[in-house]
Amino acid sequence: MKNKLILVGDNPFHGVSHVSRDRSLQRDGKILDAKHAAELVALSIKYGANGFTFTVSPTTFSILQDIGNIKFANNVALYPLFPNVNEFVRTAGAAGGLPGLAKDIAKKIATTMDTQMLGNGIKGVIYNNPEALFKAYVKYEYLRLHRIIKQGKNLTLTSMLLHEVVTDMALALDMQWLFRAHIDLMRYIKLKPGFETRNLPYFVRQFEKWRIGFDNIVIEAPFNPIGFQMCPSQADCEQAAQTAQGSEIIAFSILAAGYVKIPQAIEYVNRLSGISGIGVGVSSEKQASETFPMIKGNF
Amino acid sequence: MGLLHASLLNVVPDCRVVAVCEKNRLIHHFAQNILPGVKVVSEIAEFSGLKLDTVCVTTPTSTHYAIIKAILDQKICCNLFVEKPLAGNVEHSARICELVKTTGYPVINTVGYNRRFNVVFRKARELIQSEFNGGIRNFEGYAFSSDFLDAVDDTRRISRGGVLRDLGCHAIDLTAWCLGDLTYQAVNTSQVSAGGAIDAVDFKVQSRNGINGTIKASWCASNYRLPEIGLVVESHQGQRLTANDDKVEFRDNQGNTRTWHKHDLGDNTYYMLGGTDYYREDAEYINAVKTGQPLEPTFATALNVDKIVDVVEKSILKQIDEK
Repeated sequence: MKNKLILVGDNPFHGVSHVSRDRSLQRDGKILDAKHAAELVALSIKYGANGFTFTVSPTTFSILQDIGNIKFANNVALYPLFPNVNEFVRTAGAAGGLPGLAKDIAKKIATTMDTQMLGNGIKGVIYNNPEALFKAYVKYEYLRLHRIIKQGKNLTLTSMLLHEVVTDMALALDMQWLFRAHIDLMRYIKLKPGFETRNLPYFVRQFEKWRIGFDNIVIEAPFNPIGFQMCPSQADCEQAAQTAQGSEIIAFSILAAGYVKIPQAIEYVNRLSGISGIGVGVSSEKQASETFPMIKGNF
Repeated sequence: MGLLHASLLNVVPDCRVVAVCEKNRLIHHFAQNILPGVKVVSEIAEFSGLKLDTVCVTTPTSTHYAIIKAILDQKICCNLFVEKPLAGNVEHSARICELVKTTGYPVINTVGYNRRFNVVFRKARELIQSEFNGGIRNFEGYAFSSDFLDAVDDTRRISRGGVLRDLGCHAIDLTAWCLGDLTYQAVNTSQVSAGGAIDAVDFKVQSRNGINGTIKASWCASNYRLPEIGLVVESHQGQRLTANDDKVEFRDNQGNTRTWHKHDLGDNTYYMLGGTDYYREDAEYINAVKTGQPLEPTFATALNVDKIVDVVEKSILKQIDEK
C-alpha cells in the first residue's frame, strides 16, 4: 500500500487562525519567528509528518534553509503553493495596481538571469502572450525553490501548487489555458502539477468539460467532518473526490480551523475514498508531539 | 476587486460576464488574451449595444461618479452595482442619488458593503432585534487593520482616501444596518498622517432612538493580519453582544454566554472566493436584478454613510486648523 502523505502546514507561522482572530492575537510572537517555525516543522517530521506544504514567502524560505540542514530518517516531500497572494496584493497596492505588480514580477524574473525564462518573459510581454509570461513566472518560483532545496539533505520538491485564489479565479473565468500551461510545465520539469482549491466540485466539472485528465494531478482541498468551507456542500465535495480518480487529493482544514478534534477528523477522512494525504498546521511543540503521532497511527 | 467580482458573477447561475472595460493598455491587451469569450473595451461607451443587464463598477472610488453618470447618460444598462463607498465625496454621492430619484434609474442600485452578507453579522443583527427589547445602553462599531502600522509612505494612504473611506465606512454601514440610521455627534480622538490622510479616528454617533455610541477606525493598529470589522452592543439589563467576521457572542441578562462561529451558521455557498460573503453578495444582487426587488444597501442608504464620513473628515480638518 502506498504511503499516505502527512503534511505539516505553514498557516500558524503566518499568524493564521481561521476560527478566531482572538486566538491569532493571543499567540505570542514566537510562532511567527522563522527559526522557531523551522524547529516546529522539524519536530513535526520527527513525530510522523512526511512532508511540508507552504506558501512561498521569505518566512517559509528561511524555514526550508533551516530544515535543509537537518538529516531526517526519510525524505521530506515539499508541496509549495504559489504565488504568495498576500504579497501580490500588497505589491499591487504599493505599486499602483496590476500594471505595477506586472512590472515588479518582470523585474524579479529579469534578475534571475535564466535565458530560457527571460526569453519566455520577453516573448510574453512583446507578443501579449500570457502563457509565456505565466511559464516564465512559474519557472522563476521553481528556480528560487530549487536553489534552496538542492542545498538541503532530505528535501524533495514533489509538486508545485497554484494558490487557491488564482486557481479559483481561473476556474470561474474559464481560463483553461492556465491549467494546461501549468500542467505542461510541471510535467516538463518532472514535478506533479498541483492546484489548491476551495471549490473542488467545480474544479472537477471544469476539468471534465475541458477533457483534462486527473492522473498524477495534486489537489489540495478542504475536508472536515462538519463540512466547514466545503463548497457548495460536504456531499458534493466527497462525490467530487471520488470522481477525480487518479489524482492525489490532499485534505486540508481537516480540523475545521480548530473546531473539531483530531480523532474525529481522522475518522472522517479515513471514511472517504480518494484522499491520499492530509495537511495540518501546528503552533507549539506540544501540539506537534500530540498531533502527528496520532495521525501517523490512525490515518 | 474587479477580478474577484468578475469571477464570482461568472459562476452565479444564469449569469455571465460578457464584457470588461480596462483603460490601462497593458492590462487591456492581456485581458483580451486571458479571458475567453469576454469582450474587452477601453471606454464605457463601447458597452452600448451589448444589451447588458447590469454593470459592476469596481474602479478606484474617485472615478465612480464619472463612470456611473456615463452609464446612466448613455443608457448602457438598467441596474448598477458599485463597490463601496458610493463615490469619492459626499457631493458626488448626493448627485448620483438625485439622478436615481429623478430618472428612476438604475432600477436596482446596490453598494458593496459586503459585511451585510456575512452569516455572523446577519446573526448579530437578528439577535439585536430579538433580544435587546429592553433598550440598548450603548454600542460601538469598529474597523481595524495593520495596513499602515509601520508604513511611512503617504501616497498609498492618500490614494485609498484615508481609513474612514477605506475601512471605517464598513463599521458605519454595519452599525447603521444593525441599529438604525446614525447621526454624527463629535470626534473624540483622531490621528492624521503628514500628508493629510486620516490614519485613526474615534467619534461619537447617535442612533435613531437617541442612543449614544462610538465608531472607531484605524489602519495603524497592531496584530491585524487581516482587517477586522466588528460591533459591540450593551443593554440596560446587562446583555452584551460582540460580533466580528468570525463569531458572535451573546451574554444574556443572567450572565449566560452563547457563541456562534461561522461554522454554526450555515456558511457554505455555491462558490467560495475571498470568503463566502462576496459570493452571497453577488448572488443576491443578481437575484435582485432578475426579480426587480431592491437589494440593500441601495445608493440612498450608502449616501448616509458618505454623509457621516464627510462630516467627520470636516470636523477633523477644523480641529487641525484650530490648532
